[in-house]
Amino acid sequence: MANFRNLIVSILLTGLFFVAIISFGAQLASNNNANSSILDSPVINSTYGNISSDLSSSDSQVQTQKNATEIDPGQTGDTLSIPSIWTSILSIGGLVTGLFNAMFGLLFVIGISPIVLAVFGAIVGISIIFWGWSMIRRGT
Amino acid sequence: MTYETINERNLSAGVGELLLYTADIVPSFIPLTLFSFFIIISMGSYFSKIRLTGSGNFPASLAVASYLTTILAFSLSLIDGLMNITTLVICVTISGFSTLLLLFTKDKN
Repeated sequence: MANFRNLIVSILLTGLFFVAIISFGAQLASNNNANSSILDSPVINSTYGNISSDLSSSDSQVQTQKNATEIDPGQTGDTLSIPSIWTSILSIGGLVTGLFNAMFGLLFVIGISPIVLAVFGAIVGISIIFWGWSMIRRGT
Repeated sequence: MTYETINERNLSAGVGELLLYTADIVPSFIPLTLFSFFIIISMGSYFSKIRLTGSGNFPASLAVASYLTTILAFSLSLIDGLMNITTLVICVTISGFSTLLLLFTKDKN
């Protein structure tokens, strides 16, 4: 079976890093009374909000699943944890799409043509689908 | 075309004024400085690791260089008019991509 644990941890760490570095920049600007901040960029601002809410959602879902498993491991392992696992997967999927939207939004800000970005996005999307399929097939 | 001379600036205001003068005369000064910093840190880290351990870890060197460049960019952005938001956004984007590269490559040495 494919090792999804490392994959999920890597995705969550990337999201946490993104939030941390934008928070650092905004806080530094705020503490030093700077006239401009990283949050002045609309793409960064919306990305920051989306990723923060996705991470909060993932945290609450995983916490719910952990509490349910601790209360009754046998029962929740078979039935009750399935919706919780599914919502966790959906939440992490939202985080992944948020990260990719952020990356492409930032590339758009620096002036790359939307057509080039669309082609690049399609190539990356197809590559991710085949990568996921091969990971499940090979189990690594 | 006449260029503004450095004597027209109030240099007693600090080193920030000197940077502002250079950035006004050459608009690509700050992006080129950040790019040079990024290349020096990434290549230095990569080749020093090769020299010390015999094998390099390029994604880690890239990530370290991008983090340091982003911190430098945030520090420079505190001086009004020295750097625009687009340059800062590019630094953050490179940091994000290097983090993805670091966490999704198999080489964890």
